[in-house]
Amino acid sequence: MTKHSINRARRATSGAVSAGLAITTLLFLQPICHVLSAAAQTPQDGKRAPVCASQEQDTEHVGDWPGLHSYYARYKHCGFNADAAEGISEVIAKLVVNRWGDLGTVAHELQTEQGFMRYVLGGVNSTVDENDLNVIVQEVPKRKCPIGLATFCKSLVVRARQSKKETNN
Amino acid sequence: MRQDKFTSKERDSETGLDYFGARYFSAAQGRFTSPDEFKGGIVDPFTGQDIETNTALPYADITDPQTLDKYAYVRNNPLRYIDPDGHAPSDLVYDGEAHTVTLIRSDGTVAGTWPAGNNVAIHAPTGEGNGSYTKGPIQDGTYQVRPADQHGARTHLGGTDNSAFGPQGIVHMEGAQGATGQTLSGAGLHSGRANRGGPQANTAGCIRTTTEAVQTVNQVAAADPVTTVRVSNNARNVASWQARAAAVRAAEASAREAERRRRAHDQAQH
Repeated sequence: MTKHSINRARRATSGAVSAGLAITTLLFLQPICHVLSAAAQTPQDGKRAPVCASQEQDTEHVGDWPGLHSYYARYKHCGFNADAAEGISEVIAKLVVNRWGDLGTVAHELQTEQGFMRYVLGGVNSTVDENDLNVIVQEVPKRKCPIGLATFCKSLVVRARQSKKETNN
Repeated sequence: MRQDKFTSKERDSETGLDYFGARYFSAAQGRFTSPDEFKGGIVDPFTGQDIETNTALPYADITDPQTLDKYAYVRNNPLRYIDPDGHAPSDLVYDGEAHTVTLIRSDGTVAGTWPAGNNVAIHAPTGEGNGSYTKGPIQDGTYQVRPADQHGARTHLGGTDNSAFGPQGIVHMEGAQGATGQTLSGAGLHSGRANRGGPQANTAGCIRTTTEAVQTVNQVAAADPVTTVRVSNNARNVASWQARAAAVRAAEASAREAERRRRAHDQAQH
């Protein structure tokens, strides 16, 4: 093998390694870039990430606690949206009132994701039906709170009480 | 001789001007040849007399200089608006002091005035980095209505009068400014919560009105697109929300700090 052909083989190998590295890097970075671009394209910029376009309509399809977590995970980068906030508040209040027994299905997520816990607590606000706020204030303290969620359950009641006060002011 | 030209209006062959009903438009200059003299107000359908006459153009908005040019065609934005009769595009006007919303058709007639409110909750579920707070009521300004043929133009259709949005869904506006000074995405006009004060019940930023109002807007928009929402006299509402939000934030920050100290104290004890 001549020096020239060795160099050519080295260049070829090095090129293939570089190309492989570039592809690997791209594949690795792609999801990160996607998240970053979604986070960067907030409504404040006047541009919304494509995924955020369905945020408003999708509130109508959330029917259970795991569905709420999926919705949160999908749209948490989208920034504040008045339509979606009001729609998902209604959903959260109804889940607390009518699907309390299934709360345990997202107990792990509520314990490990501070953002998700804040999101659910934010859903108990003065835009929701006052009947639902009354049920939360009166009934939730009597209901069994899933293990590890004592602070969350207490906070729900506090938030409902504050929202009732805000509603009546 | 007249022939159909710009936006299907008749063109006078002698003058080269397009006839818009209320006045003539010069295609060569891109402007009307006379000012918009529409006075607003309500006309008695039987006598043709003005019941209520305003002296200023009802479309004029001090925050939107294009509305002050009485010779301009559709705010100098012909790609966005059309002007069927020589007056400005149809408008929804929210008055934060009178707590009403008025729909002015593009021909200048008032389709109706209904009770409305822009009372906004302090808290709401938000995405990351927003701290569970809304952006408050809408600041005064003129905002474009999301075109009816755009994906997601109407959401939450089919509720009840007592549901969050009412049966007619939301008429969205684009680029509204919240009390925090940030863009308020997803804001619009809807009804709902009729059992809790209707228009005065809290929203997450939207203007709440009656179901009849939203129904009328949707009916009018089907034939005569409603292109703008003008929010006026809402500064006092915005300031009041800002004060309440600041108090709530301060109280919550104080409670968090107290909790942090209690935990630190407990850890030190152990």
